[in-house]
Amino acid sequence: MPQKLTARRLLLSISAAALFSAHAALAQQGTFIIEGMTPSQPPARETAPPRAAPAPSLDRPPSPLSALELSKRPVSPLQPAPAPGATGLVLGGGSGIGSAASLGLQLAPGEGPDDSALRYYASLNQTNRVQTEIRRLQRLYPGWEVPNDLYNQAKAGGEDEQALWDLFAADQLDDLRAAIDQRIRAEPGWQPSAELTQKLARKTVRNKVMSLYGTGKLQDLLDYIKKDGFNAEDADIDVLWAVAETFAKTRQTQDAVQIYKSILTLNRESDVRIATIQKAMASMRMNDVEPLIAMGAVSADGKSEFAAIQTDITRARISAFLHDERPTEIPAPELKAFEDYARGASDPDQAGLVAWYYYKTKVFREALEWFKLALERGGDAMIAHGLAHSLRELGMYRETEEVAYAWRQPLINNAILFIDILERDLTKEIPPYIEPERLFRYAQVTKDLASGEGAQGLAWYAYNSCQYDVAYEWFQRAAAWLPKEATVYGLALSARKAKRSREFIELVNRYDGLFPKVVGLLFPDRTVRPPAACDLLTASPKQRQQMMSAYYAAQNGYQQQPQLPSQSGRPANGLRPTIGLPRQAYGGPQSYQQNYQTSAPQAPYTPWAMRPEPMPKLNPNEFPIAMNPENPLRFASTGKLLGKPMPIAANGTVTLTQMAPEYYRGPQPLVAQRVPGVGPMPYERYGFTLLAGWNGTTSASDPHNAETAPAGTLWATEQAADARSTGGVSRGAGADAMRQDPEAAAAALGQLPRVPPPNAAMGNAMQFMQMPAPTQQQGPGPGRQSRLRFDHSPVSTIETTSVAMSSPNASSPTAQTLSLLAFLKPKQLLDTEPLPSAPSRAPLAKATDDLGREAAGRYNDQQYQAALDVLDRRAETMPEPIDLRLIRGWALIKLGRDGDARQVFGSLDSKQPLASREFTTPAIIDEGSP
Amino acid sequence: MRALKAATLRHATAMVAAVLVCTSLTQAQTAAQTAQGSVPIGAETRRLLTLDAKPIALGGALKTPQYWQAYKARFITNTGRVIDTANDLISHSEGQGYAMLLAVAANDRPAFDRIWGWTRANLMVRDDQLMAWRWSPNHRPGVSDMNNASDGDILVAWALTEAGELWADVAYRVAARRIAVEVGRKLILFKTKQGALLLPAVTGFAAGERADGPVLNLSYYVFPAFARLSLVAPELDWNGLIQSGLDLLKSARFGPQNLPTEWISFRENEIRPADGFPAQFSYNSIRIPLYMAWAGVGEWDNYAPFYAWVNRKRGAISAVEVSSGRDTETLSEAGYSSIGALVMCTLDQTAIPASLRAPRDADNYYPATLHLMALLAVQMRYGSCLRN
Repeated sequence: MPQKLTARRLLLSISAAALFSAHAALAQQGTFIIEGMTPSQPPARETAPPRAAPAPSLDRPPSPLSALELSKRPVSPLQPAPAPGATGLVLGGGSGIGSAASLGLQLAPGEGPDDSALRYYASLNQTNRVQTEIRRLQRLYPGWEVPNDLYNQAKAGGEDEQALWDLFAADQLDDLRAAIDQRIRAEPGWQPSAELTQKLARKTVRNKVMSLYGTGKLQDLLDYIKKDGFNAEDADIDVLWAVAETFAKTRQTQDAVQIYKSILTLNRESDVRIATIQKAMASMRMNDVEPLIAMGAVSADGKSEFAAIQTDITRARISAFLHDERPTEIPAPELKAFEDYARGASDPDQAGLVAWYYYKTKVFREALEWFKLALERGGDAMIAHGLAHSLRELGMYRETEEVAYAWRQPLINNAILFIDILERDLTKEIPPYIEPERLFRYAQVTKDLASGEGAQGLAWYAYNSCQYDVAYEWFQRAAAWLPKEATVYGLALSARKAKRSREFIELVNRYDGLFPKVVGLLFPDRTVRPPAACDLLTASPKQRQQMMSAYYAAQNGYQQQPQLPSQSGRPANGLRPTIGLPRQAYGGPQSYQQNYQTSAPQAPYTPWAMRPEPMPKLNPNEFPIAMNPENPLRFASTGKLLGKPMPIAANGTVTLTQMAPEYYRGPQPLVAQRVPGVGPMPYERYGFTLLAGWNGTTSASDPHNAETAPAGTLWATEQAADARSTGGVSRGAGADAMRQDPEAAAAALGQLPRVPPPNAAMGNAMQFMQMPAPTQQQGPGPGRQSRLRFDHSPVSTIETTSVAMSSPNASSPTAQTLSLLAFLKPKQLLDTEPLPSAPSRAPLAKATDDLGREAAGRYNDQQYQAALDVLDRRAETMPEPIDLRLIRGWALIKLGRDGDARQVFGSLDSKQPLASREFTTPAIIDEGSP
Repeated sequence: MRALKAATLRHATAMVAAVLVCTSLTQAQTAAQTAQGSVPIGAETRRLLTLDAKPIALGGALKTPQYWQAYKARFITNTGRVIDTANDLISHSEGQGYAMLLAVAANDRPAFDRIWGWTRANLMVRDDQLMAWRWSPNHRPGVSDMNNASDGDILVAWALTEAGELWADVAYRVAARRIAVEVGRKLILFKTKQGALLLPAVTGFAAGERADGPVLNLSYYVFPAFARLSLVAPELDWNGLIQSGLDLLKSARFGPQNLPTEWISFRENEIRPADGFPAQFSYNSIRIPLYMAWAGVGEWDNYAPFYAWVNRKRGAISAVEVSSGRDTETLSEAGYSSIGALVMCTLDQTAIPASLRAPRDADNYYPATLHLMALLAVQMRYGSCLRN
């Protein structure tokens, strides 16, 4: 089911869009005026670097405690001065700032307040912060006065440093260092002021970090800050953001989180805090960002300080959910708010994001609506792809086909979906009516793509509707493009039916040892099958009667016998009918006969095993014969260009130049060797065996176990889901009934349209065309397509499709798709219907079966998803009574899936349970009669 | 002779029966455990590399098409079958993929169609979108193993992707996507503690199938393919696969030379040479530096063991028993040496020696193929190494 993965492409692009939005939001905030960035007292010694993001303060305010620590610490020259509070990155929950407002603390006589922070700011000439700190201290200690010598210390170093400060301001740090060195040498005992030393060290680090960050040398940046003892507490916000992002991008997530946390702890500026969340969302997984968001303050009315970017947050959460990075669904109120935003946004990706979210949560009706909205907003082929898959999940295969076809050119995912969705119907044993125009365009796309899937679909459709020559032609292409067992089997069948006996014989010999089903055509088992509908179709009434009589007689005889081996030639219960026979490689028909005649089974386990099946007579000119193992079939695609070739393509080789001859010229063996992964060959029933495989293996693989999904793969996950789901292939409406009545089947087959032969499907693929009302459209039977009906769609979707597709205005893929979906009524109607309240406990279920009881039990244990899973599993095999359907609806309500719940409660009078999922690859079709 | 590269691609039970047993596994394991700590990597000091991992289109990138013509005339039949001349004239999905890549690089569409036509008609016999990995011209049937080889599938998907880009043919892209998605679906374990793991085949290597599973082969991480497969299957995390491959390479270092073995067990975070395989750095693994350099990915830490391996004998290439660090075999054909030259070019900007600037006629299929690919990688990313 490759289609299952396709949804993720948009998810990535949407994720990218989310990130882009975050950046855009950041850019818009670039006009913020940040405290501390106003020019300080002359000289203007800090040169603010250009910044795209909000430019917050270059130093965060120290807490009084940490400032005290600073005063105890020596400051070594040329080392970044430890900033107040540099005791680690995490300083607690942001309680250090402004938390002691107007306390009116009393000072003991002779004691002064801790003004180290104040002096620190003064030393940096940060007058705004000095004023803030003065106000804080005055609130704390009414009556306290500003010290007179506040700026004296900062001026230490002397007025004669001006030339050095000029170099500093001009960012000529190398020259500055040289000048300092020179002066130290020239004036023994002289030292630069602490302020200059401190600022030089800080700016050196800052420049280096920002330079490495700007050039993307993240590993170098990490090496630098580790080597040089980077002190995060002494860095400005730009550096902190750069370092945090570097940690995040180099997958040192915890370090990144710590830095982001420290920013949030130490910064009160709203714009810095918001920008920090945005930057964190852009560089880390949402799981790692959530703790940061949780650090946001919540006002008395419950509003988060990050409310301004709530849309971005929800978008990132949805994206994380779509990428399986977030296990829980989005809370309903938050999702609702985002939906409101997306509904009003012109950008189709916003609606698309909601659509994919609903798709992922399997609320397909909602998904369909949102995809439709996104398409109306100008959504692209990937939106259409999601829409098509939603239709498919809702069982609307016919509409899926149309949408996929309309969008096949811009996106190969849609072309693939178009092939696969109709292949499903084409390969049904009793084929449904498919309009000739649809067959024609399918044939065209199949040839364009050189699609083995499409070719075998057309081939089976032709074969099952008795068109053997056309089937043979399509099977040839299928076997050239994707020669899996079912396809080669079909090719062999149709070759035989089309009287191409040489080709038939070659196929059986070429695939001897590889495809038991193909070889089995020469070794039929004794399963009694009804006469093929196609044979009945061409027979006279008298012949038909004879055929049916013979079938019934054989069937009666069969039923009186013990169980025979299954059709595939694999005996039931693992017993070999040839137990006791010497196993040997065959050498030709004679040895077959000899072996059969001279070997008698000796230790039978069951009566039927005592009588080995009669060995079919083989023509020595037919099997086994030496055969070139190479499959010679080749067919080029009629591939349409998708985009433009690269310019260099024009200079390429245009004719085939010399290649090597085949080195191996024979002889070709008559005896097959074991192929690991392949089951037993049919002739092994008669005591023959194969040569050892290339790796020494001598026994046949069990084909049912050969391909277990490796643990941990998506395939394994799908298999588990499939096991809970339909577990099989839809046989099509009425197929079971038809199989019971071969004559009725024959009559129906006679009405099926001709499949276009490959050479007829030429030229441009046909565009949408009006479909005639099918003459043999099979009514809504038990097929899953019919299980789910839209409440507001009284007409059948097929009829709607027919009307929509004939619309002359339907030109672009978007117009075609929207026209097709015109029957979808606005969802608001649904929303107005009140939902019943879900009880905490379900009434004792009336269901007497285990699964029904289990579902009720799960519901009562508040395991609502598990209850739904059990109900889905149960619905695969039996109808869902109303009490269980109520449980289904209540569980959906409990899970917040109101849309789904409405569908359940709106269809309580329907006879069928809701479809949950179905889309399996077509099965190997068993031939009616060999 | 090249030991059959995928000789171990058989069912796990068959592998146990095979005679290939690591002679000194315990030593190798011990080495592996120490290797997971802080690793002294060779005598070289750690360096900062400035590689450019920007994806580059392969179409038409081969600047010496005459080498391709010669290769084609020697190793590819008129029907499009690529012959492994050192291995009983068999074909495999890997070889078909290499040839398809080279055909795209040489802008040779007729040959590409021949090779792809043969590949799908003869190897796509499984019930999925992957290829049976092994085909023999002198056996009945031609396909001799239904299992796939992940690198073969990836190479073919990559070649089809590049063909779709070069010639803008939708059929190639669709085929590429189907294979790539199937690889993502059946062969990649995306959610492991070690990141995304690429199984070598559908059958025989997963956790449930071997006591030491999952078992990986790091030379199946075709790094240059991953960056390009996002063109056809962008929903899969190919970059994650690149990153996990590079990470695994830093962990999978055994013995005194810190080299990875061909087959490695990654069971529950314990990284060690896989059971039942020779614990060697050999014909498979020599492609690891080729793929890294071709993709322009990896840091010094990733290359250091290979750099030391190449330098140790001044460019002569050997297979190594990792536990002892001893050479087990000299890989004398010129194509093998081209890998060493590529490593030196990538890390030291050393010019490719004149003797290695053209493939040798005497080489067998595998070294000849490696040689052409190494030259292609140099032409695409390290052109300065070809200047005189």
